[in-house]
Amino acid sequence: MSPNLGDVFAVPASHGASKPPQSGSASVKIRIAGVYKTFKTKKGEVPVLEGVDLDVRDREFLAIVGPSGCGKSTLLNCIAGFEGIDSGSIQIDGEQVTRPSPKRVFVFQETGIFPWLSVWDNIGFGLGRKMPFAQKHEIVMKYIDLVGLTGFEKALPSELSGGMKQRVEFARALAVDPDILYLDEPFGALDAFTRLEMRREIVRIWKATGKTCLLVTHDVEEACELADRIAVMSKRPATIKEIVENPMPRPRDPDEKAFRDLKDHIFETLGVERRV
Amino acid sequence: MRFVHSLLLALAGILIFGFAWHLVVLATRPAPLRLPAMAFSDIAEGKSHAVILDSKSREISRAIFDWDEKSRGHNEDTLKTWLKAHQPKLAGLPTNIPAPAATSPASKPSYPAHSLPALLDAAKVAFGGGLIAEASQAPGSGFDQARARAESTQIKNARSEDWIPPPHEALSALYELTVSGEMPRHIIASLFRVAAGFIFGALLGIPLGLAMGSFAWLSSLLNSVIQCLRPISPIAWLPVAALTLKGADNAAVFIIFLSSFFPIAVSTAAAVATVDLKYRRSALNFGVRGLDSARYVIVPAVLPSILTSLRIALGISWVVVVAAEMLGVSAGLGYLVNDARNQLRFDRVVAAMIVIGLIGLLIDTSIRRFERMELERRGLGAR
Ligand SMILES: Nc1ncnc2c1ncn2[C@@H]1O[C@H](COP(=O)(O)OP(=O)(O)OP(=O)(O)O)[C@@H](O)[C@H]1O
Ligand SMILES: [Mg+2]
Repeated sequence: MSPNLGDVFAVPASHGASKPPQSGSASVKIRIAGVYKTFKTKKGEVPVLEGVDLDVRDREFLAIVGPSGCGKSTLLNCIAGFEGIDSGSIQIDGEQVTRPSPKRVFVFQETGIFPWLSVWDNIGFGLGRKMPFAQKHEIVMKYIDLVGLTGFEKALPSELSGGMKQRVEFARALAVDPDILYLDEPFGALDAFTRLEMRREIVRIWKATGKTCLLVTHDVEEACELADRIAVMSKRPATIKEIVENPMPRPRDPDEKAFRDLKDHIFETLGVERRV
Repeated sequence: MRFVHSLLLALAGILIFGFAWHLVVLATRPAPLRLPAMAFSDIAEGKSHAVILDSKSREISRAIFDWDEKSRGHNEDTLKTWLKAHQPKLAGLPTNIPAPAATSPASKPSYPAHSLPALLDAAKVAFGGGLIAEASQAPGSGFDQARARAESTQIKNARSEDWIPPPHEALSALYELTVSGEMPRHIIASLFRVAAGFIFGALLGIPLGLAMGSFAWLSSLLNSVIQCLRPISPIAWLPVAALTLKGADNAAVFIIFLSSFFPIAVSTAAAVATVDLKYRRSALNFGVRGLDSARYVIVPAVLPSILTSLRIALGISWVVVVAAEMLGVSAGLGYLVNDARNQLRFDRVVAAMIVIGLIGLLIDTSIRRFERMELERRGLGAR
């Protein structure tokens, strides 16, 4: 499907007017049931996932939060098919995940775009080399526009700022028109301003394209700003402690009481004292 | 602008080096040998002179001999008697002057050529060598001409055997060798050997390194063998290579192959093994796997490392080729060094060394340029 750009610029300002696409009501996209994962190292076994159950609905924005080192990235890597699991099952659209697929694209913690390719080539990478140039160009330019990098087609990643690189990575992921985006702390390496801007950007893109987004983060505020639902993981070996519904309409204001309450609730679930 | 700047700095560096070189030459130069006596013929006069010199090459004593038409030579007995009489004056003087080839007359002598060598021989018999012969056509100028020639010959002879040649001599030898076409011939021979061996080494080393970096089992299979063969100096292979490859030429190429193959294979393998996981996973994610992944992701990712290993391997090859050419071949810079040494032409030895160094520099900088381009492209190593 193509992104509806008209929609993007018509984000209503009034609360409640913007409803995430089919949020809440959709069918299950990813079904994770009883997943166990242990890393075997020289020093011994490290149990990381210990019976993780989670359903991700179609087209929803789900965030996974948890303490550092609890296994968030591991879980996302398993869902993406980069890592195998010891037991349990991970199904997408009813099919067991065995390997990565272009239908589900991973956005890396620190940008995973290829530094030797130009912006254009990076975004076109996933489209394959057999696609006719004209068609490829049209798609690439569309996503360059979408992420606001017009004029930088020929630039190399080394000539871009951190935020711009992250936009390129989003564009590369979106260009293959996947069903699902896996986001592993995609804003982790960015400064506070850029991070804020990128969050707005990702919500805009998500609304425009209607992907299922699975975001891993240890930033509770980020999860509350972005997600429809927030899965809270326990310490390693990890399970899903609780799945919190986020009823707030977009755009969200972190200073609102509902927002703060939601955050407090998540911190409580994590067992973290929020005040310094 | 930056280019001019670094060029000027490089030139300054070369000048400083040349100056230091010259200082070393001066410091290690043996005291000039003193000329105890000399003989010359004044063709215009039709007479020969034998002169004994003092420590400042000034005349002490002179004997004049008439040209004897009948015997077509000098009266050697007279010379001998004269020399004997002067032996005491010569006794304290060094007589180990390197025997010069009888210097040929400056222009065509109307005077029999053999008369001077005869005079010289007589002197040698009398006090064990150390005479310089010279012929002159201008009346009266014989002594000065002969002395000048004798001194320069003496210096030249002493220099080519015992001295480090000073920079200007090496440069003039370089000029001579270049103009005569010898140097280009040797350069081409060496470059050809290096190119042949290096291309083989790279063509086998890069794919093997890529495969070893990609497949752990292959790496385990070959690593111990490679790590065991690698420390063997390529030169140590020379006897075996010459025996099996029938000919020193092939052997030299094989040795260059070895010197480039191992470093290229090993560092390519190491680079592939450390390609960032997220690049591999990105490729996998977009369904790019196998050979496509190697071509479009792994190779571009390790290209700077490959270029570095190529540069280092080529540097090693260039070092090794000179050594490999010292045995059994009849062209190449290594051969030139060895040959010039055997002829005691140290000016040529140094000229060859200069050329070896310059070509090494040229090779290094040209590959470094690609390397820097690729690194800067990736936002690495930019200055
Ligand atoms: N390849 C591996 N081999 C062995 N142990 C691993 C491996 N990858 C991760 N681990 C371990 O698994 C645990 C979870 O790692 P993971 O990267 O999933 O944490 P995370 O929740 O993403 O943390 P962060 O928020 O810091 O990114 C860690 O304790 C780590 O040591
Ligand atoms: Mg992580």
